Amino acid sequence: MGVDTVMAISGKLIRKGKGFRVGVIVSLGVGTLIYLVGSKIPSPLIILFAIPSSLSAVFTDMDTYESLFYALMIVGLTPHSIQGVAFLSSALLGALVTIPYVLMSPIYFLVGWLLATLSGYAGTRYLFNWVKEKVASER
Amino acid sequence: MFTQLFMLVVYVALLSFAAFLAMKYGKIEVLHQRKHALNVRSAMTRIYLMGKLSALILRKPFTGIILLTIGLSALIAAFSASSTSSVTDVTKTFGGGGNGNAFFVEFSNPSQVNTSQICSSLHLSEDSCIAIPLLRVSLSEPLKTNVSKSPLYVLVGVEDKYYGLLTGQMLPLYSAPPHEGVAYVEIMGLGVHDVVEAKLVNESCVRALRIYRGIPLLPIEGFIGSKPVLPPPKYVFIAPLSQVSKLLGGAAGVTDLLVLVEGGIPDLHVLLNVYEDLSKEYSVKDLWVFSDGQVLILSSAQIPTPSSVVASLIAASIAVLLSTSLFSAAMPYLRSIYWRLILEGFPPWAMNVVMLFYVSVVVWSIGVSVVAGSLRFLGSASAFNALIMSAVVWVSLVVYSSRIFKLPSLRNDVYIPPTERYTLLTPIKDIKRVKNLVEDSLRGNEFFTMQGLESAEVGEEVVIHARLSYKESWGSGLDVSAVLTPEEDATLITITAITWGIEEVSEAVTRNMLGLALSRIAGVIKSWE
Repeated sequence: MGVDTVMAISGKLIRKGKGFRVGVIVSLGVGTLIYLVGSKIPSPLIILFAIPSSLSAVFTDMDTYESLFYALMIVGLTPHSIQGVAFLSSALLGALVTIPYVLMSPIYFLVGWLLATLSGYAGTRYLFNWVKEKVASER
Repeated sequence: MFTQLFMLVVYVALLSFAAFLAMKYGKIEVLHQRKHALNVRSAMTRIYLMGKLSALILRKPFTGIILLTIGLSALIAAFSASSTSSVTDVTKTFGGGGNGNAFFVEFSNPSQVNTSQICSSLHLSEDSCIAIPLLRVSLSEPLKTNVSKSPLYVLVGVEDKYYGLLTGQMLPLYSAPPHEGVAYVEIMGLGVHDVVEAKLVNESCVRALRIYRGIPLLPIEGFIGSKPVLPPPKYVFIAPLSQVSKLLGGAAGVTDLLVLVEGGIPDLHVLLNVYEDLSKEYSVKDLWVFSDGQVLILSSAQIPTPSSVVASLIAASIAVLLSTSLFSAAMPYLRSIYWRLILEGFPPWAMNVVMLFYVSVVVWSIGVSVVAGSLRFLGSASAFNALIMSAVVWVSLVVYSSRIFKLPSLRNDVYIPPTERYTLLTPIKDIKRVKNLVEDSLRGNEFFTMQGLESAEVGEEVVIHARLSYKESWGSGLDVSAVLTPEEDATLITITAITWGIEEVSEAVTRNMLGLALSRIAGVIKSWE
């Protein structure tokens, strides 16, 4: 399976999952907050907020991720491809929840996106390992 | 010292006696109610198990992420707070008539005040501004005099040139009616360790003295309801400001400043800015504004602005969304524990208690910390915002967790199974009307074709019979008989239905026919009650 497959699976995951909806709502809420009182809130606080935002979007999709990882493992997708799916979907969700940071500065957006992507990736890896252990125990 | 020692001995004796009684009672309980003691032990085990379960969940990694979410959200809510000084209209309480304009500034601590600077802060020129400083101090150690047997606890200093007027007549500033023997104090010796020679005069007169309109000269020690409590005048020492300052060991500053204004008072918006400017320079507690019969108090108490509260609620909404999302990720784990414990005999309600404890610990451990930190470093409005946020998140998570671990209901609303006999009691007393309703329901049933309908009145009772053919299954139908009996304030309807068919009627078709016919009659009667 190539990059196209990984991108297609990630896109489908984002579109179908509840995490996308959570990400949109969080993005709108944070955007409103930044618009209303953004100057008062210290920027490190806003940037750090990207971590729980991204993690919650990932964990909301726990069921979807679980079934997807399970299916991918059964059809024989390589661990690298699964990691690619995890990273790409985290990056997309991370971008979604950190879009409003552009209102503060593009730099803040980039830093926030990086944090969101890394934390989301850590979350998906955790889920993947959990599914892997579950599959192993079932076998 | 002796009194304190005596009270300590009494306290220890009473405590020992109470402990003795408690132990004695406990022994009696254990000896005579062994069964009860065993029950207590069983309950303790359950509580211990709940505690262990709570500790197990609290140690999970998702708890840390929820803590981070709530903490960051609370901090964002705290930082987004903005507030304005509170303004209270006390015209009814302190009005007292008069059209003079004045400011009365109360400082939190004795402050060194530059009166000309105060006038400029109040947007007043020096010509139109007369500032009268006062010093009103409650002493931690009493001051002894050689005149009064009572020690003095409160010192009041009035600026020297106005103090002189106290000896013979009321200050022109005071609106209280004049009394004979106005407060007069003369200091012979000065210094903290010197014995002060003073004359105390008419107490009721001292109590009646006012600085301006309703503000008493004696400092207000507290309130009983809305009524201010003043110190007893015999404990109060009134003297010129310079002498009171010396008595306190030098430049003690002033605690209050009365500013008489010739001219108008700015509007409220400007006054709020004035108050903010003054607060930056001095530790201002309250600013009283007397303007054309109206009395306003601008106080240091901060009120959150609407935009601040909106920001707090948005932060709370985001925190609720994120927390519930993260919480839902823990659900598979929590559910597996829940079902395993249920099988082991763990009561289902205990999981709700555990979750309530868990949510309370997670939310309030970080929430209280942020609220306390905000109160210390960012102010009361920020603390208020953080508190709102924490409370909203706590309520939401409690509702969410209780919904997830809701006890399975033992009672369910189920459809009434199709039956051949059905009895209804309707409050409609008019039996003819009931008869018409039953007949209409039989005629208007679209699942059946009416083959015959007949009715008869037997005494007070009415008997209805109908033969219906079922449209969905050829050659089958049912005979329905209904007997309407008048009761006291009601009508009893007894319905009997017997299915028939040319061929054998299956159980499914029988149930369908009974259900469709009887439910229509029951529905019509119930809807017209």
